[in-house]
Amino acid sequence: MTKIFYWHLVELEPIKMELTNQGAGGADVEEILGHIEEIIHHRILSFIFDNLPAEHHKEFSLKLAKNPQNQEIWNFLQAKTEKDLTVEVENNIRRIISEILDDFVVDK
Amino acid sequence: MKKNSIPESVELFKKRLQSKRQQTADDFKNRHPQASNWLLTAGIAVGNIRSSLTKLAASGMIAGSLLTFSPPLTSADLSLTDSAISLIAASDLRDRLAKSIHELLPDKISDLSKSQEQAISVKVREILGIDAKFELEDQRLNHQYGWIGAEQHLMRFPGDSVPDMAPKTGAWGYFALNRNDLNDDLSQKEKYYVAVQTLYLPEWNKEYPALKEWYKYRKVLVINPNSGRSVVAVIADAGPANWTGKQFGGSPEVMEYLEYTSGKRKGPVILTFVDDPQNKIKLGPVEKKYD
Repeated sequence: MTKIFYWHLVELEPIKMELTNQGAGGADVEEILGHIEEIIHHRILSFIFDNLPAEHHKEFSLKLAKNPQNQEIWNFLQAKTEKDLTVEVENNIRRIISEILDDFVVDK
Repeated sequence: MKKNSIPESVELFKKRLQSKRQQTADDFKNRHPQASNWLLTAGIAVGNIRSSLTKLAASGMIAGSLLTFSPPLTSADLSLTDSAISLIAASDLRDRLAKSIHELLPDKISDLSKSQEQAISVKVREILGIDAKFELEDQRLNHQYGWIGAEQHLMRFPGDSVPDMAPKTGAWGYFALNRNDLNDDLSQKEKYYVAVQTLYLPEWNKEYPALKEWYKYRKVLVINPNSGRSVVAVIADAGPANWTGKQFGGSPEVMEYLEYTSGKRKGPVILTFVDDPQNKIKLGPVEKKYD
């Protein structure tokens, strides 16, 4: 997994366990986790851009490109949005993973 | 039921995820087209963020060294676009300048001490490679740290007409005698100009001819101390009046780059002369360090 500043909030173990229980092989697990990672990035970045005033979108993009892991990005977001997005991002991630797991349960 | 040894539920799940991934990427682009472009310019492709971040990490732009890379990387993977590199470099420059200068400034806008001025000059030289002088050839403005307000375009030649143009010429008259005489150099001077309070200089009236010659199109550096955005401009007008509460004026382009175009269209700046006898420093935004 490529680290990004919010990735410590992501817990993929439940999905890995479900996949293993279903007998998915290592390559399948890798591919599935890649799709999930991408979905999380789209949804979380979209959430951040929704909350961040447009005049700061460019600066955020550059900060992200310069060092995606940089925890200082949280401070930047807090300063520009005047709120702590950490909890909301974490809740969003939980919701996304829950939706994905629900999809998987339906497929079983 | 099995298919190629993959449980059907897993295979269906993969297909569903692929579709969901595409859908979320499309949603992102539709919802944030401008942000998608900024990310792309910075080297992050929406739809393939994971791979983009891996490339950025591998190209050495990431400070941390704890990354692991899932897919093997090719040499093509390691290249960033020139525009992404220059945008990141400019952003870095601004961050460094803002941080360095902020530590040196008083809490409120006020006169700077000699030691503060000297420290700022050193930082500007170190970060931008520009010789920023608060005093040059015995000349000194009455303010170095103050409020800049939005000015209009100046008439470049008789009959000139552009949107948002002042009804009169600037302090030095027309930039050119006619449209044909208006070259790139003069156009740039109008584009990136400032107004300073020459009218309040103690010797202004007494030594007007010599001082006018000295100040006419004198190159200055204007710094937004909060963002580190800096722009090189020339002095092309006099003002603003003291009663406005502002000490400097900036052309539409100067104000736009400094990001002082909303609300009251004013903001704090540091303004210095630029010591550039060989005319190496270009007018306009400073987005890279001069050698």
